[in-house]
Amino acid sequence: MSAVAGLTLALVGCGGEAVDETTPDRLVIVSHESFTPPENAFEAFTAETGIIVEIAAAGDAGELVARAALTAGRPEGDVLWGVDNTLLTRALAADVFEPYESTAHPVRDDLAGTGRGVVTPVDSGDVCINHDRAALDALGLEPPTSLDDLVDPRYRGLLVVSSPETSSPGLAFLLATIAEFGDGWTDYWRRLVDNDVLVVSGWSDAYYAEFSRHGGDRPLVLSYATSPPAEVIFADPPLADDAPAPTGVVTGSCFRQIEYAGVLRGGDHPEAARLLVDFLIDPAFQSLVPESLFVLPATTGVELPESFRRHAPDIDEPLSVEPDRIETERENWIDTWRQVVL
Amino acid sequence: MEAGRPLSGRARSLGGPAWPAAALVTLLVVVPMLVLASRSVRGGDIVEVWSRPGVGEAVRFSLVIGLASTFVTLVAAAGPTVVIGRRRFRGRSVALAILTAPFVLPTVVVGSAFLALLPDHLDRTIWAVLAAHAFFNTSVVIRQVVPLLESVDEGLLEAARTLGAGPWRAWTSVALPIVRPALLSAAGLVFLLSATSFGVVRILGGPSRATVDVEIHRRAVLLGDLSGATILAVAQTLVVAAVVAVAARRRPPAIRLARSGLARDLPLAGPWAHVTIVVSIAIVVVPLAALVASSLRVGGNWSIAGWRMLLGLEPLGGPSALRVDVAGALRRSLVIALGAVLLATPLGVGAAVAAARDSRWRVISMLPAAVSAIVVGFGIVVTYDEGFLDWRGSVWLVPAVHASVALPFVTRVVEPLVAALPHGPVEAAATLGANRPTTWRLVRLPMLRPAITTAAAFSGALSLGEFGATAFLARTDSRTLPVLVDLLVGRSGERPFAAAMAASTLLFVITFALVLGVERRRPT
Repeated sequence: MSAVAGLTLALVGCGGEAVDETTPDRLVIVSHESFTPPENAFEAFTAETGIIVEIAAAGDAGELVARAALTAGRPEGDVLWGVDNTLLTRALAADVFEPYESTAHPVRDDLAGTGRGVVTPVDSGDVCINHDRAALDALGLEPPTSLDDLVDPRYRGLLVVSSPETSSPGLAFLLATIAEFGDGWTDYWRRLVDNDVLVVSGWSDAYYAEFSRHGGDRPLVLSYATSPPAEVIFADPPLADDAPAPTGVVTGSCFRQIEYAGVLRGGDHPEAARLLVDFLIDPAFQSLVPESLFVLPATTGVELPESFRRHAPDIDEPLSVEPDRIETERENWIDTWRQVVL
Repeated sequence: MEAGRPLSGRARSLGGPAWPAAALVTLLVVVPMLVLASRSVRGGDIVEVWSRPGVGEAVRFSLVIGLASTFVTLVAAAGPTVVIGRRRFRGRSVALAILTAPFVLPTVVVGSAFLALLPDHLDRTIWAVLAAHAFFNTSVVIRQVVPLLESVDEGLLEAARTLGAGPWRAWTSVALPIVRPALLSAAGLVFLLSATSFGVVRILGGPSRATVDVEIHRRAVLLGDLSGATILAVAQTLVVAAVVAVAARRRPPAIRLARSGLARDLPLAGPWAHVTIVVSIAIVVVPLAALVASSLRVGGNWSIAGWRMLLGLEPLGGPSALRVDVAGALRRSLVIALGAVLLATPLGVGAAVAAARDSRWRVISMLPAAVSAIVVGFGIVVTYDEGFLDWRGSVWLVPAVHASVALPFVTRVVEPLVAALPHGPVEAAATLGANRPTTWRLVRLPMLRPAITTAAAFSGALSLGEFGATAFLARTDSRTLPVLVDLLVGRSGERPFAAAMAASTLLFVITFALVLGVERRRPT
């Protein structure tokens, strides 16, 4: 009996004992630490199915995939949220997922690709250079608009990025330069170094210790396309309603990270887990994604909140690299990067 | 009857009291590591990994930073250790609590404070790393050496002076031999902590520097080279175990004290004692004050919004009204710390007693200080995954792991004092008919109590501040304060950052209160 039918029977009250066995009390979503949906996000799912959703979120995305690979077949939960396109090939190679791609709701075309039929794209987020409007104004500089601008001497000593060796946005930025310049990426990084780029270990070191908006002295920082709406939402005191966001995005510098969710192979309740993946791309859940996870919904037709409509720029032509190529070349690229930059 | 036997006789080296500690370390460190190795290591990598990019540099850097940090830390700790160990003055317990506080602060917080305070040209240099290691580890030296230093009989020093030794000579010939075991053991621990440093090196060392632990994490998580990472982790553990074992064999027998502590009621005499304490405290307080100040600033203005968010009086912001469950995180942190203390203290004391008899037992209790948190985390996740052994997500897993992390500190604090326990009172008790448990309860434990309370406070503080293993093993509903801080500083915006600084300050205040509370109650 399929879980859907079983659940329906259970709900209408005429299911037998066997039906109850197929309906779990709870399902566990395994994810990284940044997966923080609002507390009531799964109420609709629980109301519909009777299943309580628990979240086991720990570590970063790299740790998530590493432990999922280690526990493939004996997973720590039922559904995984948060493997991205820089790590997807590794997760697929480790046979982490029970193949299931949800078609319960239409998903944006631009997110399809690797992982077809095995996982479901659930959100996207662009890693981009951000700029501090006030600080650039004070220097009499226009914001840069492209990767090429960043090596312009006018912006000398103004940029801080995190290292691809130790941070996921750092890797995304390295991939952006590889997508943009091909084999010429090493020359580009030499010019960045000549232009006095500062490389630090992690995103928060860059954003909260070096970025001029938060007390540092560099007005250009590697962050996300959704950081400006976050700066508005979390501004204190609140900004005037018609004020622009204090930070902006260098739209030509963006690498697109796509996050996927999938049913973990070897879980006890694969049927119910599929229902949960369906729910993850339900417009009701997806509409919560922007302001709690600061990423863009994967489902088409989900209206963005005002903070995103006003302050998150559309990135029409994000840079990208094939997941398979990332997995095979990553170590070489990082070693080459280390030799060029450090 | 028990007491006639020498306390440190090799005849009784089966290590009875060390077994519970050995069991904990075996279950949570050794077995997971072996299982992980058997699952992930590819044979060829055992040779190849050493020539992969970054590995050789990491090994060299670990050795260099370990040695240099130990030296700097010992120099920095010498003054305050001597003054606190030999002088009794108003505010002594407060001073001790303040000097212990850095050890438990989240690395990310101390890292930011150092970045803010150090001149720009020193940021992300080896000097910044050295300064931070000294800042963190000075308390390790103070904590280990002070209990023994306190017990140096002032009469002995006086006798030496009466016999014509100058103050310096009296110190080096009388006090130094007594504290030497504690000093060496502290130095060894500081070396180990610095050589396996993770967070400090990542933040303050800049992207070009990696210890072996940083390289292990990079291989396992970023490059997906779990095989190489596990080999490095196993090798590091084996090397440390071997060095500890060899050092244990070479250790000179501890000097036995005629009687325990005496004559600490000296006034805080001389300008140097004042200056030493004031300067040491200032070095610790300045970054902490910067932290407190940053918790009271939001977006460049003075504000208590960070604290209001922390206390749940206002949401982080936005229509989705994110709230910070700080009360929950605080409660969990305290419960976990209590569990860790209750587990680590008796186990650590047992291990210390065994190690005092036969120092080879020290290897067991030192192992947790030598293993990479991420490797233990991976190991636990793959090892305990089935049936009644499915411990992933168990409530007691995090306190138990914290206890194993605290074990080296407990044993290192207690062992020198056990080794120095005088025979006399024990034999007297035995002569009067006391059996073994009674002798322990009435004679040995009271003499060890200063070291035990110190060790308990230290393990509680360590547990409160532990991040690496907790972040890996904790789940959404079991986040501790340090994990919450990390989560908050991972968000863009003024308000989450203010809440993070308030949470860090709270962590520091609670730790401080805990250590101070224990010091105040400590029998002197």
